[in-house]
Amino acid sequence: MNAPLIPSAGDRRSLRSTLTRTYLALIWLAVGVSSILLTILGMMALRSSLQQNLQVIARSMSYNVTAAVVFQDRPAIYSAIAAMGDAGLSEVADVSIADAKGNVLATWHHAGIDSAQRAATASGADWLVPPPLTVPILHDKAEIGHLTLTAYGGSLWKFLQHGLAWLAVAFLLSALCVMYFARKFAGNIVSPLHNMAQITRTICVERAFNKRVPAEPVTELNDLVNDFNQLLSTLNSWEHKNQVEYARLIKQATRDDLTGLVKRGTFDEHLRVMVDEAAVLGKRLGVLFIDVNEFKQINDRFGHAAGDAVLVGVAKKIRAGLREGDLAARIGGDEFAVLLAHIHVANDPAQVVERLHASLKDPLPAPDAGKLEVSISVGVALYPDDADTTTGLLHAADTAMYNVKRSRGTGHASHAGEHAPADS
Amino acid sequence: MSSKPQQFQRNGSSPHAVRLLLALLAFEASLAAGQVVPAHPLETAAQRNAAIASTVTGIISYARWPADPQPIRICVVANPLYAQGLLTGQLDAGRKIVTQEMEIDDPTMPSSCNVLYLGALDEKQRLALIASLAGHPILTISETGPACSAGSMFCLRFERNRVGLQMNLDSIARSGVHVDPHVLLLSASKSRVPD
Repeated sequence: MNAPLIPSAGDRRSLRSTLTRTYLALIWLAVGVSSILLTILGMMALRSSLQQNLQVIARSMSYNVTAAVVFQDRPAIYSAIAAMGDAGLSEVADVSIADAKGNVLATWHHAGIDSAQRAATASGADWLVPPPLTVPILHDKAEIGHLTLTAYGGSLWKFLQHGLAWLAVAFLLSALCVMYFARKFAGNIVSPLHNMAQITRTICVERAFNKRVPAEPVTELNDLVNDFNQLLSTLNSWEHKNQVEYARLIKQATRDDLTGLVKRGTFDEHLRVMVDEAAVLGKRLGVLFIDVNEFKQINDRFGHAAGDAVLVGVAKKIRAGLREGDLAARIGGDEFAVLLAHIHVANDPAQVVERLHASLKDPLPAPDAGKLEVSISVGVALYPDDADTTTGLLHAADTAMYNVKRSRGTGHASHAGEHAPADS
Repeated sequence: MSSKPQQFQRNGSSPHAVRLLLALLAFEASLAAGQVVPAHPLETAAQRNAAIASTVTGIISYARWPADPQPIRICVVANPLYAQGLLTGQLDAGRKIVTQEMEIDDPTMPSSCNVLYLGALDEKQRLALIASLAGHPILTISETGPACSAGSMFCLRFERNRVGLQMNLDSIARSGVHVDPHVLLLSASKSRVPD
């Protein structure tokens, strides 16, 4: 399911990678924004507390050095500020004390901070650290000097470092979770799509409209699957109707409604194929041309229903006389043609014709006419003896049939025999 | 100190991020440093007069008398060498100060002086003087004097470029003048100076 469902162009992406990308962008946004906001808030809080701290440290230092400043006891001043500086006041980078005239009396600084601060200042990062703080040294309500305190900002730097580190850790963790869930989620979405695609393919190839997509746990997808299955059901019933209708149309086009025999076109087509095959294999074929004798009179005397019954009866007899591979057709009002596919000796057709005449010895049932005795005239043509084309064969058989009819009319018996209606 | 920041200083084209990283890395354990800015040496008499005056007013500013005298009267006794600043200068300790010279045997001394600035006295004289002041809240400052052991509360001493201050805590405790402990601390913090 990881592979794209559709053979993709270069710019297509799988659903999973799309989801992963979207999620990653989202967590970048969420984690980034919240971390950065938290870091900024924390830095602001720290910075303001650092500023307050510096105020307290400055005031307390200034209080501690007051007497020393009054007596201009510079070593004592240094001792006082160094004592506070060393006492773990890591937020103080530099302390400078000057008297009221601005003469610097003593300075103190964290060794090792200078270069770092220089670097920070050079890199433009000194915005982080609160600006230097100057407080007056008061004695008896008079300002006898001032103290200048420069912040170190070490805790701010550490906080910033930690903030960035946690941002990275949080992002990594979230990214891992996101990839896991995106994979899972994509699986949930892709598997039904995959099923649907597979079934669609199967239907395309096999036209197996009865296939159905299995149900899905996700509601929307399940709805989609249901709709798809519904569509398949509809298609299935359409397909079925189409097949029935198609079969009906085929039958209508090729079969004669009344007798159930094939029509002229189909017979011609079949005959052409058989002639081609026989030409290659050196086989013989036989074509019979059959006409119902006195059919017009039957129609006139007993009505069309009787005529139709006669045609149906004759067709039934013809079909009954056929062998495997033979084909009978109704090619005109009372004319039938038969293709004999297996001719071993030249008088095989004559035997078929004989059986046909024999089978018609029994009268045929007809409505409003009781039973009618019906006779037929049959013309025979052989391939390749009489003709070697479809039309030639039909024409030869037709001519033979007319010769039979004519000789019957003059009282001569032909080799095909003849029967007149018994009750005419 | 690591050499990385130095490298960074030389290499001005380092990317911004690298600079920031180096700046972050540079926070290491540190040693305290700094300096006592040396003052001008006290060479002339005028400088010494001024220094004495400033020190005495400084002491006064940290002292509180039970009756809160207005003004505070300084009596200069026994011809100290550098009292000129006290006698003529503009004194300012937040309160008004007046200065007068006084004989050592002046009987009004206990009642008319709040501060005695003493010149050179021998042991006997000083003890007699201190005894006569017993029960009066008077701040005594000796311009000279060995080790501040003979009854004076504060003893001044010229060092190379400043006026040193010594205190006799017993005398201060007995005197009835309240001296701010900040001043008292000054005599105890002379050991850890880098120069």
